[in-house]
Amino acid sequence: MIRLKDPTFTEIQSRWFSPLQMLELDACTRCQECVAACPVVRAGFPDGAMERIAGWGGTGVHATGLIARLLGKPASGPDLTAVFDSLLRCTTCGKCSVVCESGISTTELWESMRGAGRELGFRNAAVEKTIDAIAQQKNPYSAVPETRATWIPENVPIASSAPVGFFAGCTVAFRQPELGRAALRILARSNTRFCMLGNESCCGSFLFRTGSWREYSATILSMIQDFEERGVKTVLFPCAGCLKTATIDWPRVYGRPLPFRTMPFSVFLRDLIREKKIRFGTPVPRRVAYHDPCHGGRHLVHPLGKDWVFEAPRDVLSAIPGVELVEFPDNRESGICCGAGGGVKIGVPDLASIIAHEKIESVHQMKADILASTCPFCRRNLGEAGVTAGSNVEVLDVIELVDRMME
Amino acid sequence: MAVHAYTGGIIPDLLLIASVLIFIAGIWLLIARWGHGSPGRFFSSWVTESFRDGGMAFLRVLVFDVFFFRRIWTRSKRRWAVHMAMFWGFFILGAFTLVSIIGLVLGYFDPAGFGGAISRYLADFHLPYDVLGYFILAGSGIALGRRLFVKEVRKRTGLTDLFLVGSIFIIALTGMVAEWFSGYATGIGPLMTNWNLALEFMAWHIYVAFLLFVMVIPWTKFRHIITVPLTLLARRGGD
Repeated sequence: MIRLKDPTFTEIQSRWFSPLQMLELDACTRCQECVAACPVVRAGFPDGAMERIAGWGGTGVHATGLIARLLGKPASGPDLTAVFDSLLRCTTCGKCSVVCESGISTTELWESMRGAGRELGFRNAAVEKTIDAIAQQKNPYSAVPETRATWIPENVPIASSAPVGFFAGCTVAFRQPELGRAALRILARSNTRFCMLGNESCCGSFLFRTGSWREYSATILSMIQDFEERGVKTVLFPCAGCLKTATIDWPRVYGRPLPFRTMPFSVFLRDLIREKKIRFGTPVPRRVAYHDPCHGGRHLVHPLGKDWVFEAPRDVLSAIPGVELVEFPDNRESGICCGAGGGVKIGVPDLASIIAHEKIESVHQMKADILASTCPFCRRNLGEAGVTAGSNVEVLDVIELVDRMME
Repeated sequence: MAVHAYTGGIIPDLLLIASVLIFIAGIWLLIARWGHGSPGRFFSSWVTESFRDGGMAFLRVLVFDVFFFRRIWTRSKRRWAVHMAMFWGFFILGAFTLVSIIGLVLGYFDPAGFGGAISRYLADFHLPYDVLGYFILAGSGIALGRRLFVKEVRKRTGLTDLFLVGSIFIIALTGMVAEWFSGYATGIGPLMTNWNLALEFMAWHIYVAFLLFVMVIPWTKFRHIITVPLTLLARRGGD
């Protein structure tokens, strides 16, 4: 039960919700399109976007509506437990935003609700543990920060300053070094002069998705400053989560446009292919399904454009000799998420697994040999689902596929 | 047509004026809530976001997304047709009603001259009312039918939703029944003429239109008539 009598609810709401988000809470027509599109609802869990908006909006009206104005705030509001349980299960994939008839920016709304919810006391132990880990160790895996750079091969020339920067991200550094090494090999073999941060830390994605980023601002600012001091004009991201965070969330912390542009690694790869700086070896026939990561796809359509986020990885795959690219029935803006985003992999791992298994089943139906993506988090969740399902579909990043097929 | 049946009287007049005042107060309270207590904060943030991509982008969203429901078109052609029928039916019908009121006032002050001529001309103007009336009756009827007879939709439909769709249906139905009894309905003609019943239904049509629609807009889901266009414009079409 939310306490409305003390000033917290209205104060917290005004801290986390912009005026336009307040409007959006009143703009849901309950058309149910979001419910039909939600992968979490499809996986059998209740309460999609529509109910979440109704739940929060109802509490807001209770606290600030006509009756509250005339008679004073009631002592307590409706129980928001169901709303926050449903928020915890939300992968923040943003598919509800794509189908929303009112054009509500749902992903941002969920992040605001999560932030407000934490302040109101709705907290999940696993999520809180990860938030603490990021605050203390600067990574969500509680790994020793000093070991962050151990994955980097010694023979790769990394400049101290260069116009191109490379941001590996925690998942690459601590869980998927093979992906990072593939990216560095491509950079080295294409003679790209690049630099990396001396103080790379978590980008803060998990904190933004779970509404807990405010205390982390100093770390983000120091990374932006470091890139700027190294003369970086373009930062390459092999991780969709880091890319989204740097593109959308960092400028909010920085308070103005970043002093460099953020670029998906696949766009850089496409440029290298077009400039013939990458040459492929003998064609090996492969049927490759491409999974659009939400964070590197529909979330970035506005700032980066459809060509960069949807077409670049497809162009790269199509350029690999022998590769036959096949599409999911729902692709690009309408793609279905892998199930791991929005803190779900950590907060509700079973749900993440159910959605990923559904995706692997689709890949089987498409008769693909390889499931490619541009997000280490999707790679991890889909890869694990493939293993537990006994699937022989190989889950790879586009970067790894290019590295493997290069001359 | 409908406005010609309104004979007034102190109680109905007060009722209708009160419903309009309640509507205005409700809208003001909504805007204040969106701006965290300050309507100015909301307006400034809405204008900034709506025009962020320039006037042409604003106009594009206004025409394609607000007036022609582009987002619904991409999802379902059937639902798009229902929305178009309801929105344009209501919008144009409302515009015609407004014009009729103006004609009525002109006719009152100048019955023998230009005002009277306008008033008489508008009183004979039935075709657009009828076409649009059928549109909106069909649109609201389909929406009501889905909520009553399609299992999945019914499961997720609350009583409030049902009331709102039902009230639109009742408003449209009372208006059309009055039109049928008036003897002027397009395609029916004088077959059902009964002026007493026509006037009775006209009066009901006006009361339900104000009390079940205008007055409750800011307080119910009907507010999406205002909030959806505002959101689409502020989010530049939502893509």
